[in-house]
Amino acid sequence: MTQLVSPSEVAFLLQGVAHNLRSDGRSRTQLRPVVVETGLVSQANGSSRLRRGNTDVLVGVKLSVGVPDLAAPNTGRVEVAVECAPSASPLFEGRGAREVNAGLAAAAASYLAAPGALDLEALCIRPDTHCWVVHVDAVVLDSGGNVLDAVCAAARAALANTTLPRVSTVPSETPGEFDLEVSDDPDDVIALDVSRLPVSVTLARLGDFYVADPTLEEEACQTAAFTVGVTADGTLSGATLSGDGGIPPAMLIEMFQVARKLGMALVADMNDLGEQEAKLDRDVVGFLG
Amino acid sequence: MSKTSRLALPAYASSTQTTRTVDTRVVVPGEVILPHDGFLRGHGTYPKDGMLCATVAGMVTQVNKLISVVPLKSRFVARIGDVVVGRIVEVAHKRWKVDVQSQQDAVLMLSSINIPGSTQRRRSAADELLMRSFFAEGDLISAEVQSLYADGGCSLATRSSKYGKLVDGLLVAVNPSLMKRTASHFHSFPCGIDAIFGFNGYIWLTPSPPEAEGDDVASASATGAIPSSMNDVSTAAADTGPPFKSVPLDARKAIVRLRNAIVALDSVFIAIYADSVWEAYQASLELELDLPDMLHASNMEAVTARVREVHDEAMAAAVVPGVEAGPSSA
Repeated sequence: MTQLVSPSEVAFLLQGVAHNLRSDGRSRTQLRPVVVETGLVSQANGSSRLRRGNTDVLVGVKLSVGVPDLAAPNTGRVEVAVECAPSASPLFEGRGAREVNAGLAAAAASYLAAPGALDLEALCIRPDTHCWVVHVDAVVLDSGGNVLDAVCAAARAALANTTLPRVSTVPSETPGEFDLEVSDDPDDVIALDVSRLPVSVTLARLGDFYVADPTLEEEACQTAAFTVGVTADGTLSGATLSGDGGIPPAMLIEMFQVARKLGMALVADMNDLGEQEAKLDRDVVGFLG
Repeated sequence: MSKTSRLALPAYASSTQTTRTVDTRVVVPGEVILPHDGFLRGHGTYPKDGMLCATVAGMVTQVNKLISVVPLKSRFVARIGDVVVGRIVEVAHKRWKVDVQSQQDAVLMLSSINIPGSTQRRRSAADELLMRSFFAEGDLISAEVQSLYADGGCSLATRSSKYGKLVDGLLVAVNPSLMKRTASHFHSFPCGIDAIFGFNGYIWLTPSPPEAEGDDVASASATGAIPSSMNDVSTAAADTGPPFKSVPLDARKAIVRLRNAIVALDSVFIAIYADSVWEAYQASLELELDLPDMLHASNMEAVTARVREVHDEAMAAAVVPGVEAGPSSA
């Protein structure tokens, strides 16, 4: 996004990429370390905060009961909203933020709400009348580049942290209508299945090379960016190209392969850490950390 | 190795502990500092029910009867003579607007720069038209604060061979309140890297200029001398700017290691100056950390552990006047 860089900085950065040594010491295909913490918003059904370099994203998942779409009466749905805090970047101030927010939300939804990502039929409570609507609300607290990937990864962690109350429908006193009956046991919940949920992997083209997980400075120098969703088993989805420039076909094929490898490793890492965190017996650190 | 870590960053509690050793009091917004009676309220305080309370998180300082709270984190507050590194954000009428991490953009007047290739003379209309060829939007410069405005802004000057456009290097941005005022903000590290510690929290790292002119390879033994090539405005005369000088891989590795050491110091909230950066750099080498691994939360602690020790000792030894008779003991 718009970050001023001088021509000399661009040259320095591009040469670093050519040397396979980026300004923060990473190689071209290395991701920044991710710090995730889940369950820190007690009011939400699921939440996570993810930091990746300077990028800082907080995601809350809220569940509500809605009416299924007419076209798909047996399924629930996922709705994604992204809000960039104006304090994160001057770009997020005033009216300009709306465009950025809408763009990020649409991009994130294309991975999170894609068919097959979540088991939408499991979100159905009673066909035609009741279903779960999963609201994924992300707040971008700080922007250090590659916001989309951070939003998707944070959303994945938040959804993994989300549990559905066990709910059944009983006929209401009014004929033809139904009431919801929630299980008495608060621990009687169903965890959302995120095993097929993708994370997005963005590769930015810089000169004759491409880099994974670009920083703000690298984004300012990129000619094009390529994003693809990757699931745990390596299924690719929703490849998009952004930016003014193009990507040569040979490079694109290589990018698919690299993104697939990186994405699978990232999902495995995040699953690992999810398990590790579940075992940790500690207080939520949250924003006091 | 891109191992993810779920460990939270070190809490600020540890740094507040160290400041307590010099009898400094750290307060959070809303905390009662002391009864208002007999004290004047300074910046960062407000009176409530006969008590003085803090409006910001920071350290309580007392000058005679004046109580103020110096925030732990703040934008750059300029003082005359400060060496700063800034980025040109706008070319305006006879002046540039420069981002220096201050509350407002600093001003660099056309009359406050050395015009390339000329001796002292009045600025002409032709010079105004050429302003973008001196400094264009996005360019990085080093400068010093020339004067302060009543509204909190400041004007800069580059009228010295020390200052001017910065090229062939890397900018690191840190919290300005961590910068330490030192005798010289220009420093040559023994690893062949020159640094400008802008007091505004922008730090510029670049390979030391080679001792032999025309030699492209930065000599690792180059020391002391103020880098002339990067500060010579005359090189900026061409519209395209000076040609990019290749930075060899060894120099780049040293730059990146210094950069990561600075980022580590910034994240654990330790004062940033040549000695602390060099200490952290050495520690990262002794720990045999790979460059990207330096930025993991636990490694940042390890890299800066010794700096913190040295720093704490120095803080404990230094009796800071004014702070010594802190209000916490009043």
